[in-house]
Amino acid sequence: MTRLRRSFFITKYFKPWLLRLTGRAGWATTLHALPGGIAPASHKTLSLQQKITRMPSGELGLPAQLILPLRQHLGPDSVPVVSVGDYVYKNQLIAAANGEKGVSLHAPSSGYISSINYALPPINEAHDPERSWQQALNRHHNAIVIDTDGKHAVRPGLLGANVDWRVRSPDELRQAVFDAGICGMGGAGFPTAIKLGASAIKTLIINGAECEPYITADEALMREHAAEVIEGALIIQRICGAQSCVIGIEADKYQAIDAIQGVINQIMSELQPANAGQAGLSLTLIPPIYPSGGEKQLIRIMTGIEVASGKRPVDVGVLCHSVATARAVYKAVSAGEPLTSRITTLTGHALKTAVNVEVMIGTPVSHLLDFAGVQHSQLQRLLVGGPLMGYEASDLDTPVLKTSNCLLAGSELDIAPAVTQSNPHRDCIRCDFCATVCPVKLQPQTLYFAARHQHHDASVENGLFDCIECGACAVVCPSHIPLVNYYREEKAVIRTDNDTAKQAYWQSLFEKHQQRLSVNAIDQQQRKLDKLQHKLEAIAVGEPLTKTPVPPVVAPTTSKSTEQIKQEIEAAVARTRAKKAELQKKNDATQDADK
Amino acid sequence: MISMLAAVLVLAALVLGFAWLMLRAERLLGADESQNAKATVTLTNSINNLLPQTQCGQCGFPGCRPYAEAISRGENINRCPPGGAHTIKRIAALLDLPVVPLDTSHGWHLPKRIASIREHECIGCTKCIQACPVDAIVGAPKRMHTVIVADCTGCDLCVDPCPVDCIDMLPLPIMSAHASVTVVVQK
Repeated sequence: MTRLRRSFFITKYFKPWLLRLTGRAGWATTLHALPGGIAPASHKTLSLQQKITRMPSGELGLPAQLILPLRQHLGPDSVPVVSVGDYVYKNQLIAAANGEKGVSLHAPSSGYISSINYALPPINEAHDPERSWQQALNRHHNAIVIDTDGKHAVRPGLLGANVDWRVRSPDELRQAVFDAGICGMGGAGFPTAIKLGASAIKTLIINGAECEPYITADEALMREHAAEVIEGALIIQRICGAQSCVIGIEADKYQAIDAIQGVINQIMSELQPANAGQAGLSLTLIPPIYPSGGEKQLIRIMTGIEVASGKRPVDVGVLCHSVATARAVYKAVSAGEPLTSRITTLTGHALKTAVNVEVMIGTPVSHLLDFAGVQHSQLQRLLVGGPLMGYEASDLDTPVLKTSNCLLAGSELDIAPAVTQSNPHRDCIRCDFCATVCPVKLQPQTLYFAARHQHHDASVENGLFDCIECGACAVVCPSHIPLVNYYREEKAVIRTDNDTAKQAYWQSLFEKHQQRLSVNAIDQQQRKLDKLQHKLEAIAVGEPLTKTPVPPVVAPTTSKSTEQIKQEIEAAVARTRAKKAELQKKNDATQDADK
Repeated sequence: MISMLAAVLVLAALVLGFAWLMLRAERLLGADESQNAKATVTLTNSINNLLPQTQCGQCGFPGCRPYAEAISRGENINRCPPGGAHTIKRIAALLDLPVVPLDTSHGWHLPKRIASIREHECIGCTKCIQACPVDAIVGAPKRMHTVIVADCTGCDLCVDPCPVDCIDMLPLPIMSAHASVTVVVQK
């Protein structure tokens, strides 16, 4: 702990001071302190030894199948517009956005559609194979599967018009972003076009603070495609009409900073000196603290504005996009290319070569692991995302999504074993370390007790839904409590408990059930009545009535006369009528009450 | 002395007068039978909206609506185990009653679960289908039955009627998206 504290001090206070002293770029604006935060070992050099490997290229071929889930974003599932057996070209639309809030999906490569309702394997390990289909049912995430043909063919004439974006109107540009199916590529996957539709934006922040350990996708992107990132940022600035555009990068990403600063200098020198001040494009270095890359955290550091609980950054006039999104916007607008590939970090000590790759969306994880040379004997856990916020990929067919920025094949050097029944965590000792590192100023230990004892009201009152699940509290916990796991579970429980739509649905099912039961009961009496009526008619005509003989052991002592039978039937008719009328009355009464 | 007496008398007269007026007004404008009935229905509906709609019958009434009706007639508000403490709190707030702890003789407040039929053991007796209050089980006589996961409320009512005990109550896989991760710091 002392070691952690010391390094925390160095990164938070000493390093920035040193950087300012040595005259590195940035520090144009005053920075504001982030409450809490940690400085875990970054392990970023691991995957930064090589340049980005593009797909398809010599070493990294196309996978045989591309699995494209219909929901890779926040919002309604996309609607497939192709059918099984269709041939699709690269960049062709395969699933349309479901309404304004949706995101469309395009084919990353050419090939035949082999399935449009492929059920993704459940993310969590299915402990009982018999149960797995039920868990799959619970994830309503169907996927489109493309069997690639290796030609990577683009339909002739599909390329977008190459008009300079500076002369196009903001609405036109926003439509281009919507058509390209872009969602936030930092992790949450919020549809970018919706964010860009916000009005009264003053500041645009481009998020290059990739604060989570191991992940270097954004850093590699900034090193190698700095011009595209800046261009994308300017396009976003034009769409949202922000006065200033600030790029925030963590101060320890030297090469990325130099690349970005070079591009900014070039743009500034090209401008007329009179306009140079108006461009409003600048670079800000921020201290490398986790989680400074969270949207609200970055805004807090760079502008000092604290976005209130339940509010979104656009409510305070700030828009935040990641550098990967900016580049996707650039590609969509300048070349008409939809979002079909992204840069993902392959890292972890279980891989022979850790590297950044630009992969097709939908590439199965196994294909990438084979490329990077995974050593299965050392592979302890495979995470999609970083070590703090990632989730476990139990199945090697899990595809790379629009939001997957990292694939961490962790050996025991990287990740502690999962807390399970056989490997329980220890009890909370109320040391309060978690509260000191929480960037949202929550009391994680209080939330932990509330979650553990299912005190849902207490959880909500203590701000559970403001938790950004950064995992800083779990890292510093001396009892190794997987706190974030508890919070996620508690959030899910509260969401299901308060699922009023589901409750209304159950209620309607119950009412239909009751209705059916009462109608059935009336019908039963009616059938009885019909049967008796038939018998009476038969007697009236004079047909002999034959009763099915009661079991032969109990021989009837006296046989009944027709008259007696008739009387009995009439009595039964009266009884049944009365019963039916009673049921009918009850049914009518309940219906009236419902009305 | 006289002035004091006058004051008392005047006030007494006023009190009596207003009491008489209020009595008249109640007789003239007060709620009649049908209005009373309507108010009860609205009350029942608002109580019903607070109940968890699992239709489990643990409260002793055949479903959530019947229990809501019973509460509006004065039944205890702490008989709903699936709703737990926060449901009691909300009903208490609605009816302006004191918050009471859950009556655990009706059951404990447990995490949500859903029924699951071990299909190779199912003999197709349809008894669970008849027991299900929300028709969440499909199947035919002598054919395998199965639970519609999206419809199941986790009421437990199908478990007892099953003659071969092939129905399990499984925890709801709400945690499907994430698993616990702890990072090794400063290795």
